Amino acid sequence: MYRHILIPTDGSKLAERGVTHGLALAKSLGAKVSFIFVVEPFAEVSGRFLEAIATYAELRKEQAKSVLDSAASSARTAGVSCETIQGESGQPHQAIIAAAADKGCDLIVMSSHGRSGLSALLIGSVTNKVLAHAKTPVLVCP
Amino acid sequence: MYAHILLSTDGSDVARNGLKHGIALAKALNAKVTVIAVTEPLPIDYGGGHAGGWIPSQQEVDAFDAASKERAGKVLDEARTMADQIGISAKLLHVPNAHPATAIIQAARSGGCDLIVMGSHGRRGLKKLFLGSQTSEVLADGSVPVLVVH
Repeated sequence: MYRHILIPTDGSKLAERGVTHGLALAKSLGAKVSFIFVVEPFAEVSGRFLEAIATYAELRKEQAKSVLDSAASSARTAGVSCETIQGESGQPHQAIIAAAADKGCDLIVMSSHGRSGLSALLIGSVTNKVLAHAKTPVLVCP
Repeated sequence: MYAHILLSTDGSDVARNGLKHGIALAKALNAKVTVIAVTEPLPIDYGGGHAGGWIPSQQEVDAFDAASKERAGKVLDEARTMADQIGISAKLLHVPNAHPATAIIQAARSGGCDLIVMGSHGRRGLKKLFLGSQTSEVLADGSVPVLVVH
């Protein structure tokens, strides 16, 4: 059915559910997975915040690496072949859709929310944009 | 993985894609399938102020119900044919006079479905631009995973 599933994560608890769900589906279908973590860069600012922002960017990149590493190790445990992608974009949904096209993924599995968003009330903004713009099927898990 | 998949259709092209997709997935996972078609109630305009409303007669209501049933029957028959072609059996469900998103969520809950498959939009909606209203509502409910097919 599906041969290559793309699973975006931002390291949040809810996104982890998407990782678990997507991995289980991949395992039962014998599909490959790619995990993607997109870091949003700060807009250019000058002055005394530059240093703080540089520190933040470093921290986010480190977080991305550790989240992707742990997803990859879950995949190994499950016996699912996987790849990890670390992206940087101000528009995470565009990076996710581009990665899906680039890698030839035939399904995107993601949680309904990530780090931000009114939980349980609305659907997260990144998920919503992926749903609106992706050409591939999108599986949204609660 | 999934034991019981709910496929929703309104007879539109996008919904047909969703059906095809959902049936293939069910086959791959050996899951049970229920196909649901929801038809909306006849709008009643009670009027307001000097504006005259329109309240349908019993005859008109009956004719509408019969037409809804026929339409849903056609859509579900088509779904059955698609399922037969792939070689799986599907339970067919028509929910009349209901709000689609609500009826889909209820059917998923009462049927113990662990996945809902639906088109990104149905008969209405600015194609390719936005997500359909019923799909959005089912997604926002968040009790069952939803697979959205474009």
